[in-house]
Amino acid sequence: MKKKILVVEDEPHISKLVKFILEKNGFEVMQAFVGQEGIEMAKREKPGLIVLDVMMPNMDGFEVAKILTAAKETKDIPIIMLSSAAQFKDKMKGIDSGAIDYITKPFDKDELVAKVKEYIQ
Amino acid sequence: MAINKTKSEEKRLKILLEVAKAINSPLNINKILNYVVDAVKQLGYDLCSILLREEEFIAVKAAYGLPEKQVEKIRIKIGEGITGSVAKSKMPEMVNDVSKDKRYIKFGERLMTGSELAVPIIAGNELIGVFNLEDRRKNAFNNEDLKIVTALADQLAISIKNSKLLFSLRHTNENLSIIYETGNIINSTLVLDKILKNILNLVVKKLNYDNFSILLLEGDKLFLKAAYKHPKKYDKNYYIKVNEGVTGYVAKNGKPQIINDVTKDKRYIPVRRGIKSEMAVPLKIGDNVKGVLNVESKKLNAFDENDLFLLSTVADQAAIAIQNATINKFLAQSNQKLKIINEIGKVINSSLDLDKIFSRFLHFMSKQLNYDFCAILLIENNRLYSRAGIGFTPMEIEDYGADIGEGICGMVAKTGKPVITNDVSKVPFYKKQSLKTKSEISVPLKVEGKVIGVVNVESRELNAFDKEDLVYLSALADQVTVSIRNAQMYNKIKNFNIELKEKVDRATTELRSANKELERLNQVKSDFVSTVSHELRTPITSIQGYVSLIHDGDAGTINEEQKEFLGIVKSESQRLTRLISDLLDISKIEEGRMQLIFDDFDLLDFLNNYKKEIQNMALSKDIKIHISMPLKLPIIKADSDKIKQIFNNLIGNAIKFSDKNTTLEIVVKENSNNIQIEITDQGIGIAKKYLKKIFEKFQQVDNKMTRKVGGTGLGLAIIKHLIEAHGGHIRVKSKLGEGSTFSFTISKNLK
Repeated sequence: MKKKILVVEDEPHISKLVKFILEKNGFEVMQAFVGQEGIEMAKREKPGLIVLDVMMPNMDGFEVAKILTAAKETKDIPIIMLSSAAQFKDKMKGIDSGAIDYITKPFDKDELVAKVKEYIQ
Repeated sequence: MAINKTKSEEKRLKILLEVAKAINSPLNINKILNYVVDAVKQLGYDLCSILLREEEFIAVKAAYGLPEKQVEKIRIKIGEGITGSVAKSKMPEMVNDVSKDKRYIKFGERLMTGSELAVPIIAGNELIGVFNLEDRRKNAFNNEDLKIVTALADQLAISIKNSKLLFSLRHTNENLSIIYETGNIINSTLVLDKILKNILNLVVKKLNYDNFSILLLEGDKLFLKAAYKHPKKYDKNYYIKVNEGVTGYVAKNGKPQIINDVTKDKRYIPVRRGIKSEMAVPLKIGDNVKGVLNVESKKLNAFDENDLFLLSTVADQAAIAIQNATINKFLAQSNQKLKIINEIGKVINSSLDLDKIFSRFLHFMSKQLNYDFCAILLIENNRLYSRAGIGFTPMEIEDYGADIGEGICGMVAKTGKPVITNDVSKVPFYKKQSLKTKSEISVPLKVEGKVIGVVNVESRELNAFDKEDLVYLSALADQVTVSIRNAQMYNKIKNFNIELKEKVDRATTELRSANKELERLNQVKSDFVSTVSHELRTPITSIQGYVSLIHDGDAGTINEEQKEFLGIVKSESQRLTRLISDLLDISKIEEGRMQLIFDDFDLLDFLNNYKKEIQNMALSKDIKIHISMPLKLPIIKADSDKIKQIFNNLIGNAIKFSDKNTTLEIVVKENSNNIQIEITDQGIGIAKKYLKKIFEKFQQVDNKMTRKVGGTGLGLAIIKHLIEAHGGHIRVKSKLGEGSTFSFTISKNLK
């Protein structure tokens, strides 16, 4: 049974890139392009891990993470946040808001895979 | 005849016995004399009189056969007439036919005297008086009568003398008691009215006068201050001028006077009806006459030496008591005044509000002085302007003012000396401020010797003010000047402060808006930078990511050349990423926006985890990594991301500039204040000329290797800043061709 990963990222190229890399590594990947969609999918599909982009229009990654960690259906799903390291606060916020780790963009695909493998449930 | 004789003798004896009894009883003289005279009447003679000696006269003291009125008036000079001769010779005389005796003086109209018998009343050698008998018949008296009368006279002499002694004794006792009581009066009270009342009571009670007055001197007038039965007792305006009347005379000359018959004295001024004699005694302190004690009597010769002595004693003591009372009153008033002025001062000075100060001042003034107008003027621009006033209409107070030197208040302002006048028409420099003013006081207000204003008080009456008023006003003015000054200064300071505050407020507002603008710009900038860096990273992420995939064969097989070229694209995009990061970092550092998050940091733990990463980095070049660390290191405060960044940069550089199969050494040491890390490589080294500038922005050593490995020229500048933010410093030791050692420290003492 392949483990499921939910990728919440508004940039389609980057979303596709992550999907390709993770699928190559034997995971099933779902995509959501806006925060709200991500939340609903997470609740429905209950993935083993969520890759969550920080900089998204409308609802940003932190808000999504907050909601996910508050909802009983999704609170136990580990979240890795994707961020441009420009926002140094990201790190703190990311950890505070329930994300378990973070990766900076542009990322190293091996690092991404390693972390996913580490945290996925 | 024999029977008659016996009968008459019997009668005589009886009378004698009775008289003897009477004489020897402790009655007063007058009573005795009258009794004797009455008794002798029974002997059947027409006239009997007893005369007592008064200096060179003998005066009738008791009589029958004489009209009442005459009794009071008859005084015979010793040596005149038969009675006078008897008084002189001290020998009895029996004159059987007075018409034949030249000496006989007829007095009285009713009796036509025939014969006279006069016997001296002698005690020891002293003539006390004369016992006189007269009858219309001639030869009325015989030797028997002479014997009897002589016997009577002798008894009478003793009795009178005794009585006088007793009287004088009594008098002395009375004197003593009066003196004692008077003394008590003085010590009992310092209140003038009480003293006067006490004296009055004492004199009236003890001395039995039927009237008495105490007059005190004020200027040249004697005012009635206390009286017993004086018609003018309640008239406060009644006075006697010095030198008028007996009292006035005594006041002027300071000598006591007894007038035995006021009708015969020119000085006498009748106040009551029927007064016959008067006694007046001065109240003196030393030579200063303070007043007069006055007594009058309806009897002639009512007062003797003893009375004078007594009253003088009372007067002496009274004068002292009155003096003490006056002094005390004055002291009390002064004290009271001082107290009041002090209190006023406190009240006036309790406010810093000039208007309040002035109104309180005017209020207190009105309690002491009777004025119609009062104004407080202050000097402004060399002229006196009225600042507050009472009694003026608003229009009048507006115009009320003066130049320095003009009018009374102008002069006071100029000279700094007060002026008091009870008739303004007599003042040469008087300027009419108001037609109605007659008296005026003007007092300067001075602060530290400098005149700051004037208080002006005016009255429509002449002689409205006296010296005391001036003193009071001056004292009050002194109290007020300080507070005026304070109020003025307070106002100045207040205004200055208000202005200052306004200025400060304005400046603050400007500053605040400037700051807000700066903040806004800053925010815009940082947003800009964040946005730009994010925008830049997004495409790069895609480029890097996909290139990586293709390069690694994840998207299908590629040939060697494709691989090589993609490799270049990959590394260049990585370089681009690094450049963006560095630019962002340096931008933050330069703007002071680089914020570090300090947390507990375990370097040992970090290095243990980091080892693997380093080894990965070094793998491609087969560079060996040696790390030496102490067994224990304290937990310090540091930003772990930044520490990683530092290590990444230095180790990255070391690897970059080293050839294959070289060694990279990392040595960690603990010093007293910091932890020291040394990274030594066996790379190409750095020429001396570059060493100095190596940590500056965009400094890159110009050699083929640099061009080969690329770099931003920003890395060292950034980590220098990061190290310094950790309380440390970075140094480099290097020799061209021999490698380099970069060493940096991190403080142990950061909070």
